[in-house]
Amino acid sequence: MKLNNSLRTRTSTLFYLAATASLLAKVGQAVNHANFKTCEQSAFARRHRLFADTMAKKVAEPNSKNTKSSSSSSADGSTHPASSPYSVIDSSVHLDGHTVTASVQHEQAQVPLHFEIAFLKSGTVRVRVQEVDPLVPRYSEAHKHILRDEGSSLPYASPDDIKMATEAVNGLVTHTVSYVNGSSAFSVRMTENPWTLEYLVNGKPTMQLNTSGLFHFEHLRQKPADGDLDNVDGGWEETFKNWTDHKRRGPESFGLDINFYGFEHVYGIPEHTSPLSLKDTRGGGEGAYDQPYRIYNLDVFNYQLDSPMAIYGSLPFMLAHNAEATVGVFWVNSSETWVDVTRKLNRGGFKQQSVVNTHWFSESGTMDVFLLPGPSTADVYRQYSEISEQTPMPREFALGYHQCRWNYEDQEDVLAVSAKFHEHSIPYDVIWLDVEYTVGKRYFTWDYDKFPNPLGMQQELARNGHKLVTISDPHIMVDNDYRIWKEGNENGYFIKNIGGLGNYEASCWPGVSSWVDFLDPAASKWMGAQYGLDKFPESTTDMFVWNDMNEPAVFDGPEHTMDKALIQHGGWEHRDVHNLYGMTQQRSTFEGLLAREPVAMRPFLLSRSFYAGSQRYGAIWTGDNTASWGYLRASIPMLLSNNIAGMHFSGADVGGFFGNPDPELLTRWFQLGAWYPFFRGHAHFNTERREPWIFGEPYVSYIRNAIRERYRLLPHWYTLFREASLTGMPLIRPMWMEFPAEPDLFAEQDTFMVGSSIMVAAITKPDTSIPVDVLFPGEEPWYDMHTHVAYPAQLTTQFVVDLANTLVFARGGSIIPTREQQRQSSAYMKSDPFTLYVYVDQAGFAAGKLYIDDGETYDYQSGAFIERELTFLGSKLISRASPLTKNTSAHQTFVQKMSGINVERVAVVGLAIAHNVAEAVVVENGTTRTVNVSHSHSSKIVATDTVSNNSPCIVICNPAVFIGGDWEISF
Amino acid sequence: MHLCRISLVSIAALSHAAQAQSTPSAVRGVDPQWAAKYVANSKGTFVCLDGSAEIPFGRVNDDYCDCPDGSDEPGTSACNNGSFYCQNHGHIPARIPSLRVNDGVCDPQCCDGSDEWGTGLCADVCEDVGRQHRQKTDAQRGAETRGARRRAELAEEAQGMRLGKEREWAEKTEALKRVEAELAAAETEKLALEESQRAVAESRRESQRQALYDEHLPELIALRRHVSAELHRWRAHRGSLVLLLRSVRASHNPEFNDQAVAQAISAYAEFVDTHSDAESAALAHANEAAADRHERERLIDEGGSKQDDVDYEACRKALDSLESERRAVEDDVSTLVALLDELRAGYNKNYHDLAVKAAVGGLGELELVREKDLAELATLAENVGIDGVRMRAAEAQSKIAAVLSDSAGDGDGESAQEADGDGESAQEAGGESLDQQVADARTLFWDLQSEKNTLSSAVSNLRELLDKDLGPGDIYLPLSGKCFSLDAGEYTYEVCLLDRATQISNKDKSRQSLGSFSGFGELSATAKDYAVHKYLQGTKCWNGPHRSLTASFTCAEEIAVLAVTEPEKCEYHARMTGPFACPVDDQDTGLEQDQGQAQEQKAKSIPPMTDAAEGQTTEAAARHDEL
Repeated sequence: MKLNNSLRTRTSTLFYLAATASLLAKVGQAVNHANFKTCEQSAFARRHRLFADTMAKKVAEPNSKNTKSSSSSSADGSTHPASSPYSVIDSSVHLDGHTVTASVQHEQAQVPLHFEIAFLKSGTVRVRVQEVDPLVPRYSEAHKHILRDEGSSLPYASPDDIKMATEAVNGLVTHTVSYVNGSSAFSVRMTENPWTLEYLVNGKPTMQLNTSGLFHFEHLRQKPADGDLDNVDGGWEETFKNWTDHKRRGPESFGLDINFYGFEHVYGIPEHTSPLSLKDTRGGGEGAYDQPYRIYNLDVFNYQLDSPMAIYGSLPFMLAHNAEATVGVFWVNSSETWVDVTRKLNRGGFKQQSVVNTHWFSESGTMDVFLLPGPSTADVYRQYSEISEQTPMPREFALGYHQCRWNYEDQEDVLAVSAKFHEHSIPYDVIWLDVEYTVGKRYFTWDYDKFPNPLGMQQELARNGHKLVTISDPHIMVDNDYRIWKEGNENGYFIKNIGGLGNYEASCWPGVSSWVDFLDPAASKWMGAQYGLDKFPESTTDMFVWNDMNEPAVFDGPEHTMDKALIQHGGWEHRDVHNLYGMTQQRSTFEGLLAREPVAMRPFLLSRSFYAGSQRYGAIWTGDNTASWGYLRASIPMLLSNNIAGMHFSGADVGGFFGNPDPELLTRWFQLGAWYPFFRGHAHFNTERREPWIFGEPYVSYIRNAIRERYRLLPHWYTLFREASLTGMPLIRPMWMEFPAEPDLFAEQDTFMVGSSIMVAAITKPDTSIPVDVLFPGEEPWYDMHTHVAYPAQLTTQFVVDLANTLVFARGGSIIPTREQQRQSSAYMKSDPFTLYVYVDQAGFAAGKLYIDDGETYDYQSGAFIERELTFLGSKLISRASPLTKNTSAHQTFVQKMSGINVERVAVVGLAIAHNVAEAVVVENGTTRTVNVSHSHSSKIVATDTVSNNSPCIVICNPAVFIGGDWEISF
Repeated sequence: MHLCRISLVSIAALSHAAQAQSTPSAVRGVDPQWAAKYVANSKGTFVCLDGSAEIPFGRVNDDYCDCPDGSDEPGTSACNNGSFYCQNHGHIPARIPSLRVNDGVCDPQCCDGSDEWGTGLCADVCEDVGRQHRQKTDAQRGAETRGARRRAELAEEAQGMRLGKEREWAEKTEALKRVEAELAAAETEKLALEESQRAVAESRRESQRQALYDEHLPELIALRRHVSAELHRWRAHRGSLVLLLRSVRASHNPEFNDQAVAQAISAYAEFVDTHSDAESAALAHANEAAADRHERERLIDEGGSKQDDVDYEACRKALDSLESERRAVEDDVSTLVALLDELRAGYNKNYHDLAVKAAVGGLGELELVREKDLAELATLAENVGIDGVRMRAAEAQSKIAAVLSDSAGDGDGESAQEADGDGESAQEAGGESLDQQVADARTLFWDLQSEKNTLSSAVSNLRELLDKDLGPGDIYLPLSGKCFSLDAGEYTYEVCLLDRATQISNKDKSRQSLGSFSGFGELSATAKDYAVHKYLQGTKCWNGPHRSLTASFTCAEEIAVLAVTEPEKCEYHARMTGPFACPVDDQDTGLEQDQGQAQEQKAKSIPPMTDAAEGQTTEAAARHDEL
């Protein structure tokens, strides 16, 4: 929502104002790097990098190398000839069911580590490392919060399908564990001395562990007596600015190199502002960073573009892709983590392959990493879905347009803005309230001076088909007259001070606050229950939630967040679970909303912070961006990276949070934002108003068209969510994901796919006279969705795009469902008919899907949905139920409810048949009828008024076939 | 206010049109004015209203959009650009955008529920709505009537006020002229008296100075003579030295190549370069017979020139010039002596260069002469008592300077008076002193000046007010500067009409300026919106713009601040009421009616959905009021 300032925090203490005044002075300036740690300022990260440097030096000086060389650990000599000090203890390797276990130890520190390497059904390999006998327990519960079913019932492979073979060549013992699953042959090759592990898919090496020798696991140890020289740099204590972090358990970090053999590109591990294809992080090359990608959720004021710095959320999931394969890595740990990326590119080299080296290191906990072998992208997401729950079906209204501002002043303002949308016939679904609706930032209260009748306001909005979202942050004002604080305090629901005694108190919006410990199931449940209609005064079921500042943001804490040594539920330090904080708040809110109605309705909530698992609970956005072209452009790789990592339902503030967009920038941002999975306009209180109509004509028409295009395509978006919920496939996708064998697309990020059928070429620069190049990939033609002009594949075309227009293309071979009738909100489109756009490929073929359910309940889980598979070939369009359709009573009831909702139009674009079709034949329910066909078409079928007939377009008028039934239309 | 007014007018226009229309169309959703078009023509077809297409009549309202202008689907939502007509029997007919047909919302514009014919969700509530509307309209009309009456009263008051103020302005302008004339006379008198006072003071100072001159002239003459005597002796020395060196330069034997000699010659050359007349003066001096010279010099020393000793100032001048010359000549002498001294110490005594030896010898002689001269001068000084003379002359000088500096305070009556306090010349014959007269003249002048300023500012303030745009019929004249406020909880907002707007903290009573009146709103480049007042350039916001407030008035009898909001940071909006926002009574002249007609025309020309949208806004606004 916003940065660390609050002139408007009217209840704030003088202390607080003083603490933030210096920050406030920097509005419009770049991030203050000094507030956030570099790798060198984080002791464990510094240690792992130093270790990596030492190992690299050993490689460079082969004479000083350990005699136990690992240089031939890979069959084709692909690995790096580094030598790791970790080796398997003799005779400790066993295959036990689906899991291979081994004991490993450092050549000097004789502290045994327990390794578990297990195959899952889909071929995923899970590698876990834990101390055999730690001095005190290490945190090992991250997976409970992150994995499907708390990780309790992962589908491991059948032991019968797993074989292990051991061979010894020149004293080097290698174990090969093979797993055959259908047509894919997976195998893991593990060397003993030193320990390395290599994943081969169909005989080809892909992911390699410890082949650079960077595996390092700091065992727990006694604190050296006073006066002893502590040889672990920053192991027991480190200082950053004014904060000293005392580590009661001492050094406990671990790191591992994961090398992607044969790859040049890696992606994912959001949230950063880096390009889509991740950059090198060890300096050197052009544009390379000198810092690793950091995974540590932080409220970064005025975050900077093109940087590996950590920001609000994170998701440690990485993909590597080359023209043959896609593989993934999922690092399950909730402490501060860094990832270094370096490359060795060997383009055209003989036998040598390109390698992307990644080096991961986490501060605490245990190692738990999943290797997803692909080999196709769809395979990777199937494998990912097996271990991690995917985005569920959202509440349908949440896909519409959201209007937000910090702050809509009062009730009158809210209703006036809403009325303006109607006046300008611009659809929208949700209007938002930022922190100012409360009494002094006491969440779950209303400032009745400004909102004298919240209930009436919500009813008025609801009557017009709109929802309200109110903000609710995790910091609770310390005030004994404030019910929430009082209850939380009495029940011990707040995070505790270092040492575990007393509530942690620090500054945030309300002034002195405490933070709900969502790791405590009782606290989580209690907080969630506050969203109950009986608890949140004057709330309705049309009101939803925004969880902000949940990194958590702490105005006077180290790096604007919590001290790592604070104590959370179970006695764990905040350090162990920091990255879970936002997600556990989302979970609490989600469960609270789920429970507030007798029949569970799908919750909607937005969070700023997120982590692996957040996709289960709602949408996120990219935080406090700025009204500039750079931030508009950067939003694309940021959202693509989120989608790659499974955080599908995400968006960026349209228009930019800080600053004032000019009309051109605002228009372009709406035109792009209409293709964000989460589509919301938002603005800082210091900015001028910029609702869609503010700049007048022609901009209001352009913006109206952009928003209407979103609404037209809601059936497509909803169907994409269905696909994502089942397969884990991203909603918006990098070009390479749809065209995996076209290396020119591997780093493309101005153009992206919405599902598999729509390509959006974003206009990311000002000046409409500057042409935009678009490469049309694949083999099938592309159709401009506004003009129907066709463009052949493998051609780069230049477009001069005036502000009225955008570049959106349908892929030949796809069928895209729309609803062309415009309404004021998605709620009022529910009974409207559908239009089906058929964009044929060269063979005259096209296929697509349409998924419909009630958009709000969980009845779809018992079959209350319509899912159609649409195919077109020759001159016939066929609608068939998807294989997932089951004729349950819930299904029948839903179909009954939908009766009368028809297809009002089929538009077939690009079919090169010259004959003058005048009629089409509709076969439905055993009856046959004819309907009109028109060839030229009016503005009716497209969003903008510009229609060209460059491509043949046949429009079957009003076939009136039931959307949920089997039928055929031919001509 | 305008939104409200326009929509009222347009609804009235619509209602009027409906009454004038013939029968409603049989086709659903058709505006009666187009009813004739919605009948199957002889070909059994329908022609889109924009003429762009012709379709079988059966495809009208078949829930499929055929006409680009949306005209074939007046009764469905199939065309995104169409509109739907609600007859609303018992209320006012309305047009709504097609997108609201069968969307499941009972649109307030369509009280007859006809827009939801497909969903059947909405009952016909037009009778109730119509009655309420009429009641509301009546109430509003009542309020408007009362407001208009108050407005008329204000206008009348304003008229009276303008007459009064104009009269006041004329009177004060007259008075100002009078005062200005008196002021001019008083000033002349004051200046004349001040001049006399200055002259008296001046002559007094003059006589004091002259007395001092007379008293101290003899000392000055003694000093001058003594310095003159010194000067003549040093001049002689310098002449002798120059001649010695001149002869060395002219007559030395360069063959000896004596460094000391060469050095002396070059140093002398340098001296001559900077004292071009030194040699000629020396020669003239040498050529004059010593006795003649001594006599001449004695005369000069003792008597001086007549002019020099005739008065104090001339003598002072001569003395200054003599002292300055003496210092210069003394400097020259010591330069040349040093030069010859060096030659004497350094020349090669083995070379027999006569010119050099002569010079060295000459120097020795001159040293003797110098001792003699110094002794003589000492005697002279002792005779005259030169140290005492010098001291007295210096004292005299500072006394004179004190008298002169007194004259710098001339014209400053007070200081002059003080100085005169015990002066014998202060009292004039004839009772009142000159100083008293000056004081009286000044008092009169300042009194008149102040009266003039008061009058002048009153006149210009009046003029400014009267020339200001005070709204139609000067309606704001009686209200200008009057303040109205609203307690909004945390703050009280105060708007002083045509003056300023202020935010006052209810906690600590601190005040923030929200701006000063800068003008009225604008309807167009030429037409003002008198129901909108702008206050700009208030206190600057921290890290933001200057605060400003825009007040928008709607019609009511009383002036009041209803609400103040801050939709953008530091830009405040006040919703206010006032009679000046009420329509002008009918008996008023044409202006307002013209506006009404213009609005009616506008209502007719705007696209069908616009008035519905405005109607909606009005309704929405009305509902906000209810909340």
